[in-house]
Amino acid sequence: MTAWPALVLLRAVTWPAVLGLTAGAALVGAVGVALGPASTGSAPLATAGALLAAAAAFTMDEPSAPIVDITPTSPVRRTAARAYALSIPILAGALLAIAVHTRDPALSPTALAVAVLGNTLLGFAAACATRRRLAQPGGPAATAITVTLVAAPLLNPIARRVQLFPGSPPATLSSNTWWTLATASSLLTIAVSTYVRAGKPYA
Amino acid sequence: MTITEVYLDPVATRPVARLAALARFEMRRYVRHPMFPLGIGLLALGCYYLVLRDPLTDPGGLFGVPAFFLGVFGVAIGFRLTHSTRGADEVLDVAPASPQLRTGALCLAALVPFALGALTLAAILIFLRPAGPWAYGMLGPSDRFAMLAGEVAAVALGGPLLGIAVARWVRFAWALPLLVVLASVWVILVNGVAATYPHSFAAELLRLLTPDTYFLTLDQQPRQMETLPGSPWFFLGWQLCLCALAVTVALLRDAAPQRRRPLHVTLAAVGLAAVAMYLLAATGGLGHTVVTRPDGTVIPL
Repeated sequence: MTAWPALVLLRAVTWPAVLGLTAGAALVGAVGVALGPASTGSAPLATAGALLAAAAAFTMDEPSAPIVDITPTSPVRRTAARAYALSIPILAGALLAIAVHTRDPALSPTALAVAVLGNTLLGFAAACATRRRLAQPGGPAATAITVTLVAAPLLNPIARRVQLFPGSPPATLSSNTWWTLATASSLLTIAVSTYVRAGKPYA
Repeated sequence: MTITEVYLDPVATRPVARLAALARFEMRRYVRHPMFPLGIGLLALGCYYLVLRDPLTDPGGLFGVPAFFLGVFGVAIGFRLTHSTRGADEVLDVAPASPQLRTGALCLAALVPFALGALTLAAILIFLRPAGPWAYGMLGPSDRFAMLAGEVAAVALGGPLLGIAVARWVRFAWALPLLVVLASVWVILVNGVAATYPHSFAAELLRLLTPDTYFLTLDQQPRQMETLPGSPWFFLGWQLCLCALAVTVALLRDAAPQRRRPLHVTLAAVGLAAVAMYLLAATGGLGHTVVTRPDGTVIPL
């Protein structure tokens, strides 16, 4: 047993997917930063958040699941190890939040940080929930989360009630409240789905 | 019946009959994909709010709802259906259906969302309640039809074809979220740039360099309709050329050497037609943005 067993478990992460999608988020976010406070700027920023969620969803992929799932390492420990990989999208999101705040000081860095964290955890939670049935939940979970987050502003009933990203048109539920709720729900989903997997043999 | 059984079953000796059998199977797979009923549900919700609950008073007020729930959802479905047979490559390679036949059948499955797009277009045309003749801006009945057909039906056809073409060439499953986001951001971005710089021809060229754009936009204060430059009919032609390009690019993957030459010729011909349509779309129609007010006054922006 090494001093940092988590780092060993991280070898199995689909790094090309995590890094590729994080790079895509950085690119789209950079476009949003370049556009500045203009109305079109908020759309690329929100979609960059969706890509960070997609990157987080791919951290749970396990191509060798039939072997890994019967090893003595518990699902809780494996999920905790995979959570280290979230540092990549969270770090990219933090840098993006700093860049956005520098370009447009009216946007609160706390609100941006809450949104980035919420997006990332939402993607991870979707993957954790899907991992119960699929060895590689990244594809379906990332697609579902990305399409939902990109589509939501188009639906008037949602757009009027929920502000999906700081800088988007104001709505009944502010971005801070929405992403705090999403973060709490995601943490609950991650905990429940991981403990449910832990309770099942070969899960 | 599983997909492998369908591919292994020599359903007919004639290629057309075999293609039809495979296309029927791929259409069933398309309809059964979970994102398809979800997209229809969200499209119905969007149409309820946009067309029925608050009657659509201007043809430019669709806000990309049909384009997203038929087109972008179609990108995802087309991509995932194409990727789903990756694990069965070894079996499919010895099946009597060539990769081109299988890809052709997948492309024909895009007729399902296209039919749905055509129905949505018909519903919009029936339930559209224009606030007055000014709500159509400078567009005549023919141009209005071309604009709506491009915004709804052509996008519903092109989305799945784009997903299939990309999935045939890109083997990473994670390319899908990137594709969905980049396609959406590109459309939002270039239309936003054109709205910010209405007098720039470069911005105009950029606006039409997308698979989806709009030609009418409603200003609320003062209430007036802007008719944007460009020809809706030629833009529809450009969209259909993009669809043909996607099919050709998808068919080129794993094509036998004797089939590559005709596919390359087709690619060149469709590419030239696409460039011609794009240039005609950019130079046709109005030369600059024109504003139509409710009292009938027409002034350049």
